[in-house]
Amino acid sequence: MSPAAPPAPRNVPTLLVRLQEERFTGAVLVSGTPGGVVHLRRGLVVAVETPGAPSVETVLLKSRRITEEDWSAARAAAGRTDDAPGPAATEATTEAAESAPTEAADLGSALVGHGLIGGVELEVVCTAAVFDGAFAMSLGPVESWQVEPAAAAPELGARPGVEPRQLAEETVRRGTLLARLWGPLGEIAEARPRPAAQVESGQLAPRHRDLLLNANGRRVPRDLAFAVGRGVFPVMLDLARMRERRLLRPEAEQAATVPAVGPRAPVPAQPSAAPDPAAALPRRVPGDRRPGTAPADEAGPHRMEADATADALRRIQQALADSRRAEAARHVDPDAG
Amino acid sequence: MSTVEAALREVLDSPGVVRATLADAVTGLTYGAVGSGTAAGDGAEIAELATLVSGRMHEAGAGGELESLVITTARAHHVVQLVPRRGDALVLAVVLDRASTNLALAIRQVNDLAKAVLA
Repeated sequence: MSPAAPPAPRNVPTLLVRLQEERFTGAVLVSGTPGGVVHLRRGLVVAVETPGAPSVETVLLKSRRITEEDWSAARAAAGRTDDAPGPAATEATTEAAESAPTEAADLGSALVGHGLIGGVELEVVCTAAVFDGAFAMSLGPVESWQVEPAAAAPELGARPGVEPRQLAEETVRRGTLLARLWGPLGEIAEARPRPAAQVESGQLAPRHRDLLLNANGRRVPRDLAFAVGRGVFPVMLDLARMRERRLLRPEAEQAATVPAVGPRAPVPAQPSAAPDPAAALPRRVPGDRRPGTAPADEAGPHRMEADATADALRRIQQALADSRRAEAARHVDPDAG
Repeated sequence: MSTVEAALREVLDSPGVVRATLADAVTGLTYGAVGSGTAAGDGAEIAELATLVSGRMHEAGAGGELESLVITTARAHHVVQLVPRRGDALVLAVVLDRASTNLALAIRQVNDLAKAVLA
């Protein structure tokens, strides 16, 4: 308790507030479940990368806001072909640290410059991803963290960034809101919703209909968020409200009826699944090793253990790493697309 | 100043506008807010209101998506305009001085401003 040396921060939000006071630029590597990387620029949070929530790239591509071809073209124009920001920075410090800050600006301006998205909308998506990533990280325990000043800047970031205090407050608000609407956060995160027996699509907003089409009893909210290219929190919030409106099958009934390997879920096929030209391209679907296949095909007993959470997360992280490598390879090889 | 704030400053330059907020229609996250005057609520409250209204309308079988909510007080018109996009919609909440605009004009004006915000 010496007055000269402040005590070590007791959690990540406290650490981030302190880093803001120091106007720190770099990253905080958080290990835990799901863990992730918090990127700061002059003390403000510009990006949060975590396996627990879709990245800006996943959101823009999976929601089909931007096509893969256009994205790749913009990235090539930005002069960036590798796909290894964040944790890899310790090994790649020499190359990455010099070029990263300008490249981080380049992908954003290339996307805007190519007319793929407006500056306001891009900032909205980047800011939303910061809050969503922080929320996803708050759903599980944090084991340890490491401050990494030499980390490469993220490809895309919010500008100027989010104040750590505001980020912490909003994360608490989100948790409180969901707990009030549904129940314990852990329960929501592990729910595998299915549509109620009778749902008239006329009663549904399009984004609710999309969720129901993807809610096949095997996907937790995180998986649904990756599948539709939306944030984890908005997906959970929509599910909570749909549950209130009895659009989801009640959990009690659901537990008894979810088969390990069973008949198709009574979900209509996605209307866009067959003729979609983008389906031929590799897609980032972490946790799904067979990109491009219809959701109904992915049944498998190995995906169904409800108690194997840690194991599932390892698979998710592995799949994330695999898809990143595949993506990187695709960008390096100009003939692959 | 962020890109969002710069865009909202332009909204504020429009006649009669005293306050403008851009928020996420689903999460209620406020992306930016400029101007003075009392808003009908913060981003989270406005989003919750819009969700409540559109949810009830869907339940009641009303066709079509919610476009805007209009709240009038003795001093101001509050126009909450949904800004659809591919991805979760946004809301542009604008407060207009009642003395310097009429309601029909205000609704139309905010509709135009909402289109310009994401352009």
